[in-house]
Amino acid sequence: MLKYIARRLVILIPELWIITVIVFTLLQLSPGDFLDQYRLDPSVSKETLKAMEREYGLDKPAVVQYFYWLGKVVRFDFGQSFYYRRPVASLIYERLLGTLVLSLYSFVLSWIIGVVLGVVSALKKYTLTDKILTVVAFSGLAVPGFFLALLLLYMAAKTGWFPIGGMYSPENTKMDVWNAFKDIFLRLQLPAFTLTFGGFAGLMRYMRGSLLDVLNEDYVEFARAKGMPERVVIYKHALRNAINPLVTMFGYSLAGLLSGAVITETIFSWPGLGRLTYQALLQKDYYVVMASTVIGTILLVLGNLVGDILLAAVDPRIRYE
Amino acid sequence: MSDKINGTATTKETSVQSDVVIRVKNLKKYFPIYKGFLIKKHVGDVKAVDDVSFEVRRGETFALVGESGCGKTTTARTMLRLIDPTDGVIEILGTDISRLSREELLPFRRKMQIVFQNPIGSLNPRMTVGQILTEPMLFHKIVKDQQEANERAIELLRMVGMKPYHMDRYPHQFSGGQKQRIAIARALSVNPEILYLDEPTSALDVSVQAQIVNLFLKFQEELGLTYIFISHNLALVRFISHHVAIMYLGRIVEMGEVNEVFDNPIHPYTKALLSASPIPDPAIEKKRSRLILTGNVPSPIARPSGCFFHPRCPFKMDICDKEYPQMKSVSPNHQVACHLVDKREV
Repeated sequence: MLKYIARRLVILIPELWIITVIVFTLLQLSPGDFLDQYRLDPSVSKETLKAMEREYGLDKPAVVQYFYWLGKVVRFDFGQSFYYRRPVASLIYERLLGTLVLSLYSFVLSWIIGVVLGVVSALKKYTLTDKILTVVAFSGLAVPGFFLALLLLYMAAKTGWFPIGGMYSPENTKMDVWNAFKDIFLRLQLPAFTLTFGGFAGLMRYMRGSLLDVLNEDYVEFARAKGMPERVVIYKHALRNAINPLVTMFGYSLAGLLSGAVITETIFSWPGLGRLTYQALLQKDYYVVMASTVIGTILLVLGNLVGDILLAAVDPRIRYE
Repeated sequence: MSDKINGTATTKETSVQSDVVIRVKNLKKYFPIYKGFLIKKHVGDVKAVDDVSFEVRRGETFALVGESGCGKTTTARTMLRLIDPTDGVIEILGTDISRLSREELLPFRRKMQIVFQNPIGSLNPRMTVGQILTEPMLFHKIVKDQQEANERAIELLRMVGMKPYHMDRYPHQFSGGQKQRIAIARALSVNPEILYLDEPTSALDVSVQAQIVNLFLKFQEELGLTYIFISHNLALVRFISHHVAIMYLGRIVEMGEVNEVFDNPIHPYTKALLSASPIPDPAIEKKRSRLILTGNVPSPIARPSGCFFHPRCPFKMDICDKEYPQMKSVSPNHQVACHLVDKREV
């Protein structure tokens, strides 16, 4: 098992390298670069432009730029942001907290709600409860996140129940601990609801389908034929087998923790990593995009690895040699 | 060896050879069909089992035969109370269990066990063989502790031809035949008197089938077990069962002692079933006249009037689409529900 984990981590290195090459190539191939906005500005002189090109290293060929960046990254230096004129690492670190607060909160909510409602809906198959839950779940899958976010914004503006825009109110620093917490918590609700509503639905349908499959298995039937109480049949025999596909999904969804909320963060102007990356992409702030790509890739690979390890832990049929 | 596992059954075997352990009377299982999304309307029933009656004596094998969807599995599942009957009496060892609650059923659950068709799906993939075998005994308190349970489980494994070291393995580490042996050991773990065998060999390849069938025969002899045997394989039915019932669209159309029914079938459907299975002697196979049916089994929701079989029956008479034929005895060990019987008598 340890050997397996080590091998997976070693594979991560070439994976990362290939992905950075692809992303960097794509960035270079798309027309324009960061300085285009200055080039269009008549008040910026040719000399200043040249100086900026040299400062950012944009005058060199793409291949050279890439290896220059790579050389710094292996020393854990993610370079400078063109736009913010600050080290990328500190920029990302600052946004990490905002993203984690939002995504972990909605992640936990989605999983709890999704799994619980999925089980309920499977056990109450074809009843009114199941049908209502199904309608809710399909709405969650069908309504685009941005549309729901806009609806919520409209509602918040009309009712004034929830403060919106950003993570803190401007007075946050002057508040006492309790009020500061309440401020963040209230601001968190709408973006978290947007993410949760879109996230739990899929999980719920997965859980429902998986549990229904297992409930049809003969060993569940046999447990009933033994005379076991329905509770034991469901929790001991059925649910433990039904959870497998969700464990795999759990691994995958870990990867989305840092970058899965771009649209929601943008609409609610939440100071998160997704929004930072999105803006950087538009402005061709190369190194910010590259850094968040690297983080995303690492998370994806680690998430899958965590999923695989969990799966092996819960299912005796899976052993990695 | 067998005394250790099932002492009671072996001593009883000779003295009560002919007593009836299962008596099913007018058993019905209807599955209602609803239409509408929020307001449900009852628009009909699937009559999966419709007025089925039969008796099974101790130590015998009673076979249920018929096409897919004719209700044989539903009959067995209803008798196990895995699904609740719509109406009728299911007498197991002298007690009608058709209306008992879950708690009241527990002692009968011990007496009846099931072996499924598909050995892959019938064992919980998360449990070791040891856990699979000991769980039922511990649940029914047949053994006093885990250690006794383990000893018994090892003994059961030996009985089905497996090794003690298989206890710690998981189901996926075994072949289909081995899994079926484990399933049989699990069914035997609670000292049952009745085993429901729902096509227990049809998922296995032929060489393994024979081994499993021999296991069943051995246990019947040693433990005095009563089998309800569901199968499509008519040669196998003839080989292992004492009595047979042929089902069509939820009803028994012909039943009786297996050799009588198979040698002298009266119902055209039985004849057709028998002539559909090949005879492994080319000389006889060439000479025999075969009865080939046309058309499909009608839907169990909208069954034909009169005898359900009349649209496909080559011997259809005027009365056949008007009246369902009563079950009549043609000999002490042979009953049939067909209007042809009356014609023969006239």
